[in-house]
Amino acid sequence: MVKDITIGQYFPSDSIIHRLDPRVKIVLTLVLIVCIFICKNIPSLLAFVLITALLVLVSKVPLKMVLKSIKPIAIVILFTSLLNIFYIRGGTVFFEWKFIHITSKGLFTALFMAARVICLVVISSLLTYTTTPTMLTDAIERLLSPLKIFKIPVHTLSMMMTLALRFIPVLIDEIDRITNAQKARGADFETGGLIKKAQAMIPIIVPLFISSIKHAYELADAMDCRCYTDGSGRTRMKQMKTKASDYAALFVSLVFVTALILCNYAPFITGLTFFNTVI
Amino acid sequence: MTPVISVQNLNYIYNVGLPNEVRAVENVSFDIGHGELIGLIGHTGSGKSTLVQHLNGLLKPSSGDVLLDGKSIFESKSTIHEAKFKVGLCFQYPEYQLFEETVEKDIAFGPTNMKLDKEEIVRRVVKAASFVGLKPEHMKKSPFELSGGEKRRAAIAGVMAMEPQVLILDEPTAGLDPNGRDKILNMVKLYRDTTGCTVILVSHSMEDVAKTCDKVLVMNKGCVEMFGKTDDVFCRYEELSSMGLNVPQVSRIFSLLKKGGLNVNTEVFTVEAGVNELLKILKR
Repeated sequence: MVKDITIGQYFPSDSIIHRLDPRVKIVLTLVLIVCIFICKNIPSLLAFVLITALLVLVSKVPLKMVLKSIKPIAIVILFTSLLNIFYIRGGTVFFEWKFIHITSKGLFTALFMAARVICLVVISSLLTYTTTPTMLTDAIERLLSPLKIFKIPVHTLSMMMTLALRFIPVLIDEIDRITNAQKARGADFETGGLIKKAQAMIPIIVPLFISSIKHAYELADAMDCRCYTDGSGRTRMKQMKTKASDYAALFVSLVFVTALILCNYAPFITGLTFFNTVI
Repeated sequence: MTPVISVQNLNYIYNVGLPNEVRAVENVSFDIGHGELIGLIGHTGSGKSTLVQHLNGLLKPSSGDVLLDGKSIFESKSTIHEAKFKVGLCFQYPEYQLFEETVEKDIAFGPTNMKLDKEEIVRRVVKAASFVGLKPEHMKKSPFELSGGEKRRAAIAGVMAMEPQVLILDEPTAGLDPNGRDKILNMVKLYRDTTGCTVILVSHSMEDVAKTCDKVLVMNKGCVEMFGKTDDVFCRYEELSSMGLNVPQVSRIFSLLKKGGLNVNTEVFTVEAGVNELLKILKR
């Protein structure tokens, strides 16, 4: 249950993607996410899915871990896909019975929706799989640093983010420990209906809240003891450098995005039957 | 007589197939008899806590088996569930498991899960609480109002109230002052003596184990290195210290005295035994 949480999980490896500058990775992730919604016809969607698969392959993150990140939203995808298939009308009608209509438009909408959500989750979890939380927050801080002009405390915000990410594994450990302790006292988390299952969580949630609050106080004290002040102007142990490979990644992505935009918006291409717009 | 717990060729591997795969328990076998008070010692990361979680079915072994009264506890879901009640496991820093509104309700959590009737639950709660030295006025308080030592004892009572055949305490004295330590150790010994139940005390404090236990099981890097009478195990200090374990301070003093030329018996593991040995020498 708890082990399904993949946010902030890092998979140590030494792939091209692991070595990219985290700032470049964040920007490219955002670009790819926007791209998912540009895709409006089958060939470009297919190209996008292929690129996503290729990224997973290159990152050397085991397929099993990538699939694990989709698992929690699998039901949502399935449910919305079914709704789309049964209720959207348009295009050729394949099947009709009372209120259920299966049409080509419904099928395409369901397909696009599922592919988009899956790609979205895979790409964003790839970012956290290949970047350590510290690198990630460092990069976010750098990317947001222009906001300092508007007096936004970028450093403090990123510190809060670092701490939050830092405590995810701690809390997961804690949940495991408390769950085991309660299981050892015969607590049953598996059987019973929804209400009974929710009630069974109380013996975990109460101790978890108490220890989280304790952690927060202890951390604040420890930071005070080390004279922590807002760290703006501090130098860093690890400098971020944009290398030739980062520029290459940016260039390749630029080409890909341009191609995608052309495929979906340039009339001389979308006019071809092969690229017939479906949505 | 069949041993109460029999561990057979137990193996447990964490993170199978990942780069950070760890063999936490490797090919461990041993038998524990009825009514024994066993000390389980080992360096941090030697696999003691992992091993102990197999004994009540919390962890399923990668291979091997655990027999409780001659029957495997991993036979079916219901035997695994029952094992929790027959083998009471109290984790390190058990005060983190407290959650109820009152101490009384918290101690009753285990027995309630056993689906006992009301009178029986009340009887067990009262018995366990008096055993760990919690006064009646504590029982209606919130567990979070208790002091550190009291919280620890309330949590232990929560496990004792299930009246398990085997009680396992993982580092019950960690982080307590000497007074609190002694209270808990005496309580453990008294528990075994009055109920006749088997008790396993997980610890890395040699002093605690030497003071309380009949037998000692030493773990190192996931394997059982030694298992025998307390005296026989502590005699082998060189091996113990090579595993990063310290023999009791008294034993070290006596081996230094021997090195210094004083003719003393070096098989001294508790302060009382040390005092007797010194008195003997002074009389000579």
